[in-house]
Amino acid sequence: MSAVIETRELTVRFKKTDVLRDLSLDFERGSVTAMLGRNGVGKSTLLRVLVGFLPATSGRASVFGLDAWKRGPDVRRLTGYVPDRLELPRWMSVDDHLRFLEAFYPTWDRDEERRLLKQLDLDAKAKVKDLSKGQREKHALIAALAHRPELLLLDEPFSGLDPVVRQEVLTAVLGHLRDDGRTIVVVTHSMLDVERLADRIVLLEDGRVRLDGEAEELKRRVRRVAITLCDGAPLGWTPPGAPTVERSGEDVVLSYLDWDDSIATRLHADPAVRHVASLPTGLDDLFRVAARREGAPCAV
Amino acid sequence: MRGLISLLRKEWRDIRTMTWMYAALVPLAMLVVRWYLGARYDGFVAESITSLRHMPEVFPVCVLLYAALVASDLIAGDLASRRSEPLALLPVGLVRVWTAKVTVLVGATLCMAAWAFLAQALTLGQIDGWDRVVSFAEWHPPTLADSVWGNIHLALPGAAIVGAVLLVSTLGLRGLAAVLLGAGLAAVLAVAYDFGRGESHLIAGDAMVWCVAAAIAVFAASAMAFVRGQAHTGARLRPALVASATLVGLLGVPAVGFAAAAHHVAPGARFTVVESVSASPRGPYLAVRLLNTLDPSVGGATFIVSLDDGVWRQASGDGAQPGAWTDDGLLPVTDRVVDGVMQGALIDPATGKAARVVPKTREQFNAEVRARMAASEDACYWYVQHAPGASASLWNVNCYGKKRLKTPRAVVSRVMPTVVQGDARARNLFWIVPTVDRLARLDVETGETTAVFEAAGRFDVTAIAWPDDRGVVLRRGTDISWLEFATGVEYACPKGVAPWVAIAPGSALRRCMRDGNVHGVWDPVSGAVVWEERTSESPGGEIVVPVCDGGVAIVHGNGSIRRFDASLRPVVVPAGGVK
Repeated sequence: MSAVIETRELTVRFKKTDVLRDLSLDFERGSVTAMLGRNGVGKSTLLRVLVGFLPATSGRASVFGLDAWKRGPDVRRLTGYVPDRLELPRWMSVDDHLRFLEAFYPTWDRDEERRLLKQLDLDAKAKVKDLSKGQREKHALIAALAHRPELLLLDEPFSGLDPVVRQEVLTAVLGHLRDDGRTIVVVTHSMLDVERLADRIVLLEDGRVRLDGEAEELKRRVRRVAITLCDGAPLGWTPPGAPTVERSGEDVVLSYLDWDDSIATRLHADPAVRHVASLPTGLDDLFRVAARREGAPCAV
Repeated sequence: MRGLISLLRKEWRDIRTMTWMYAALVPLAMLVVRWYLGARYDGFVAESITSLRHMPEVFPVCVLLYAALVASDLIAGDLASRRSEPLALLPVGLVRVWTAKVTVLVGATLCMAAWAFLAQALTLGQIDGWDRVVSFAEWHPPTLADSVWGNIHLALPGAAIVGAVLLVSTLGLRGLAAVLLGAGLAAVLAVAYDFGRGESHLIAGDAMVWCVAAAIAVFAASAMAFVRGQAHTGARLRPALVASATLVGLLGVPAVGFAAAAHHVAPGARFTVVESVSASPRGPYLAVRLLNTLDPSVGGATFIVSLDDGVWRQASGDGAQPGAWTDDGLLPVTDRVVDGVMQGALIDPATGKAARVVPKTREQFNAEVRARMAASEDACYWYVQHAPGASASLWNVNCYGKKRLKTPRAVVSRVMPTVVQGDARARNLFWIVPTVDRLARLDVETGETTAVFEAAGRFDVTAIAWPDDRGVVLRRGTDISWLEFATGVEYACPKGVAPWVAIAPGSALRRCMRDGNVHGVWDPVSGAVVWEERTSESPGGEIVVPVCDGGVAIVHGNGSIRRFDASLRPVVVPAGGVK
């Protein structure tokens, strides 16, 4: 597969704050990537750079081989972008907006537009100002998809959707696109969305890539174990493998981001540990562990 | 192209509702203004409203306010509300997006200007009769362009106002709030403009700098605080930035008007008074020295007024002092700064330019003048005007040496067969002395005074002159009066007239007298009637009042002819009178 998106040592600075730092990432054609990370780590900023809305302070970002900033209009012609918030004039109806956009996209497909309107149950005559949050997200999604983009950049597009619609959008709409070989990058805080949709996860922290890999692989690397320490365990006992540590009653919960079986062996062999039990682990834990790892106490 | 059309349609649709509402308000505003002016000024006539120059506030304010509101919605509103983001995300360059915005802004503003123009015509027709509309339509095309060009200076305070609207609307105010804000700003503009009503001070150099600075400050603050729809400035800095920019934007215009007025010395300027007036011994010229009362450190300026065409020419820069006219009709000025060097010059009144530059420093020039004065001690220069068949043949006399009287004063003489002489500043005392062989006997010490005429208490005389035939220019506070020695009748203009008005009907009278039509002019009442009936406007801001047959009197002021005419009244001076 060839890379649709390439960033190399990409840095974006607002005043004295580096929002993105030396970010080097490739997004392959046909891949579905979930961008994770806490608020303010630069996920939305990365998408804005990719659609040519923000310039890079240093480094470069290219989409379809085009410089995202210098060739912004060309990039946007090939890209469907759903921003985290879409402010439109209050007089506009859904149809007004779609007709407005149609003039800019030679590939605009009215059949696709009608299909999406019907599938997402959105009234084209409804005024934008009267739309609920979920309806606005549907509207933004249709606006981004109706010109049949090769690349779809979604910035928290499902936060206002109810579970039923969310499921429908994920499976029927985005699943269809994935099967169609489109490239999708989605910024989200929902692990459920990630599990349903993404085959790759990129976790940003402080403007840098903290984790990057296949979703299944990352799930395997995350592990949570509950241990019970012996009465004579020394104060300041340090668990192996640098996990984050939480107390849960008399038990101690150790969360590992880079789990391997040797850690289990060392825990069982440690005389201070009386009992070791594995806890069920999902992608939520991946996010939680990664987010809390920085600065978390390692000693008990 | 398809995208641009789509953008144009979208931008127009954005402002459509506001535009219709505004378009409905414009005729209403015209009606209110017409009613206000009609109620305020007794002499307000329909012709006045046809001249944009006579009410320059209405048309530019209407159009500029609309431009500000449109810009507020299309630019600042989009930025503030993040509506600009969807536009920035379109697959076209930002140039095209902004081209559409600016095109709609300019096009809509031009359309609104045309509608405001039409509304003015409709207002005129409705109130003053539809026949007025015909002359209005015939007369306006050149006047409109002339007016727009003449009021181009309003673009600068206008820019400041547009900036202020943009800023405030960027804060999130739109719709009705923006309209209310616009009305407030229009009021500020009106106050500022009225402040310098004597002349538009906003075009002065300092004012221009201030206006541009204010506009830039407002725009810069707006851009810094809200670029791309989110604040990139610190939370503490932002309110201070916004507040200071708003203050600059809102207070800048009146401040500019005040500052400009305070440092402006020009005929008709608000804080300018006449310090002295002296008549040329040859040709119909007055040398007028003006002073700034608000800030005397500004210095004065000397102008030469042609009584034939009413043209004012500045004879020297600020601070230069005029001397007495020479016998060959040149005006000496001192302290003239040329290329950084002070020097004197003899000004040709016909051109206002130096006929001869005294090629020395001020000291050398003064020494030369002193030497000349010493050589001509007790000498008087006079110019005799004979009027055939007239009982009043007048001349002007200027003296040097011992008889040289301190400025501001002028020596006024009248042969009938006496000479009138006055010391304007000291006592408002005028006396009549005999002449011998038509030459003034100025040596009052001989005791040959035949009559004394004192007007002290009635006049706060600043200047007095007798421009070759008739007029005496006086000043009383902000009122203007002139006294006719022949009849003892004072003409007065009440307050509200331009700060000062020089009335010089000498040339007109001369022609009238030449044509043998003297009586009507000497009669003050009939003269006033003639003035009122035959007013017209001349280019360049001077108002030419025809009198008699082809004669003119020049009234220089701030377009105040209608008020002037309406209030012209003779006042009988209860003084000793002319004996």
